[in-house]
Amino acid sequence: MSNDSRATIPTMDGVVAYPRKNGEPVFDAPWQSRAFGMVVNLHTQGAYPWDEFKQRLIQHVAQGDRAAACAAAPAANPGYYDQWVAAFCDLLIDKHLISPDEMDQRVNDFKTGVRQQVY
Amino acid sequence: MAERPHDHDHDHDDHPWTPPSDIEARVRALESLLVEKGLTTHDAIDTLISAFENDLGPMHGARVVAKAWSDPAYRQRLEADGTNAIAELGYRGLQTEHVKALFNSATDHHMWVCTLCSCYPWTLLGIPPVWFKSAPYRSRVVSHPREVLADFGVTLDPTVKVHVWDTSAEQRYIVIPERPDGTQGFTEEQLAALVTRDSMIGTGFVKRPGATDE
Repeated sequence: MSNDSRATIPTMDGVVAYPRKNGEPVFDAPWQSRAFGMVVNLHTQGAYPWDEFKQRLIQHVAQGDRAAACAAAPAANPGYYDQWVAAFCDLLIDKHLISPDEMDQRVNDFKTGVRQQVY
Repeated sequence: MAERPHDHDHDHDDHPWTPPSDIEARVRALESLLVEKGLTTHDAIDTLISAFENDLGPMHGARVVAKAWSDPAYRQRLEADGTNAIAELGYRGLQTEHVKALFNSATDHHMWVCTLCSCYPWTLLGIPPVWFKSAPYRSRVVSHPREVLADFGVTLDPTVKVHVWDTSAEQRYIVIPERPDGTQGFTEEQLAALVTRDSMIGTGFVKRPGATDE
C-alpha cells in the first residue's frame, strides 16, 4: 500500500499547478522537494483530504496571508513552494498537529544553530 | 531508488555550520517536528519525491484514460475532440495543444512515434523514455511495428490491425487502451493506477487488476 506511491501523488491544476520545465516537475532547491514530500505523505497517511491543502494553497497564492508562526521573512517574490510551505504550516497548526510555539522555537533553533540536524 | 539524494537536510558534523535561510529553517523545523511526532519519515518523503519526478506526468494521461473508461459521455467527447476533452481535466498548454485520442479495440491496436524528432505530450505523459528518442525505435516502428512490439513483450493476435501514427509539432497522440476485465466497480482513481505510460504510447499493456505493483 504505502509502496504504491505512484498512484497516490495528487494532481494540482490551474493557478496551483506544479511548477514544470519542459513538462518535468522541477525543484529549485532541496527544501522544495522536502516540503513537497511532507505534504503529500501526510495526506496519504490521512491527515487531511487533498482538497483541503489545495484550497489553502489557492488562498495563499491569492492573498499571501498566513498565520504568524508560519510567516517567513517577507520574500520580495514568494515563489510557489514558499507559499506551499506557508499553507502547509497553517494547515498543521489548524489541525493541532503542531503548535505555533513549538514551530517558532524549532525554527529559531535551526536559525541559531542550537539544532543542526533534522533527525 | 538505490541512490540517495546527497542534498537532503542532514547536516553532518564534518560540515561547518552555516545558518540556513529562513525558508530552509522552516522546512527543517517542520520535517523534524513531524518525524518526531511519527507523522512522516525520511524514506517516505524520498519515495514521494522520486515518484513525483518520474511518474506524475504519466498519471495525467492515466486520468484521461480512466475517465474515458468510466464515463461514456466523456469518451464520446474525447473521440470527437481530444484537445478539448483533455483540457476539461485541466491539462492544457505545454505541447498538448492538439491531441488526438486513439482507441484500441479487439480489432485495432494503435501506437505512435515521432520519426523526425521527439515530439511528445509532456503534460500528459511526463518525461519521454529514452527509447522513444532512439533511432532504432523511430525507424523500425513504421516498417516493422509488430517486431518492435515484440521487443516490448507485446504480442498481438495476427488478426489485430496495427496502426502507427507519426507525431509532429502540431499533432500529438494518446492511446486509450482497452479497459481490462475484472474492473467493474473500480473508481477512476483505481482505474488510473492500472494505466502505464507505455500503454498510452501503444508499446505496452495496462496492468491487470489485482496484480501487485512492480
